[in-house]
Amino acid sequence: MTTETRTSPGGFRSGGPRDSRGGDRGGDRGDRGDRGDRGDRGDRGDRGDGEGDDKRGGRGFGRRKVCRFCAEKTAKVDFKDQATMKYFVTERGKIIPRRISGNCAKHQRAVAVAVKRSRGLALLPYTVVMG
Amino acid sequence: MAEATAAKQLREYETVFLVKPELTDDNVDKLKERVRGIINREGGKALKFTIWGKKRTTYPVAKQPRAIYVHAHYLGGSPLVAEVERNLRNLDEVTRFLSIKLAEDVDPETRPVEQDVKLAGDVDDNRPLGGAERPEFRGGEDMGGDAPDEEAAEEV
Repeated sequence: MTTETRTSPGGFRSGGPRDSRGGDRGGDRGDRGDRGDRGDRGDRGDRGDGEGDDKRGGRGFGRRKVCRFCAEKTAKVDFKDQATMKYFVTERGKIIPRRISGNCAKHQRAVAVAVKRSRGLALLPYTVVMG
Repeated sequence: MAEATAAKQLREYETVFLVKPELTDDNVDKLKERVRGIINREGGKALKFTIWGKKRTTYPVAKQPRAIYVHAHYLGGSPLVAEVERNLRNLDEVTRFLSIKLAEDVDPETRPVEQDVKLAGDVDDNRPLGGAERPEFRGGEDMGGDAPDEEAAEEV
């Protein structure tokens, strides 16, 4: 445990820049750290928040994305609903990652399955040749 | 008593199948009735059939840029789904199908049979063919708000 505590801040720091590239994911990591080990929480938390604030300040990280399926209780992930499914794939037909779409893990999994079902029925493309 | 009620419980399924676009409405209706016949014969309950109409597919299906979509919503057991799929596979007019289980343990009495729906589809027959080669896929516009975020996230 002690070893873990000693190594983890270092690991976190080295992971810092890589994480901040991912935008939202940096925030997620921070949350997870807070929820986790209470012992080194203060140390880790300070470090994480400090870095996060610097980066976020520069990029204007203000809008907290919410999972649209959690926000709207009536919205269901439905592979038959072509208009909604289109929102979760790129122009090329790739599934948009949840750090961009803002989906929660549960609904992102559901979306991924639904997109794949839609592709099978030619409601969504497997791939789109650009240009 | 408990066993008797348990035996009545069916699963809820939906099957979407694609039909060749050159089929007439009558022929599509015949297909639909055929599937309904299978469901009733195998002890299931057909809840609703929806013909989505002729739609442009995002890629060519059976060398055709469009297809007629039919959606069947029914209750039944797994042998029923196998039988429906076996029949769809044998029908030359059906190019693709997908069956999904929606729910377990549904009491057939609680689910009303709904009227069949027929939608117009989204393909205007007067428009030139070749849609699937350059599909009308506008995913980029819809997610326009998100695209710059992706770039911003990758830059830093």
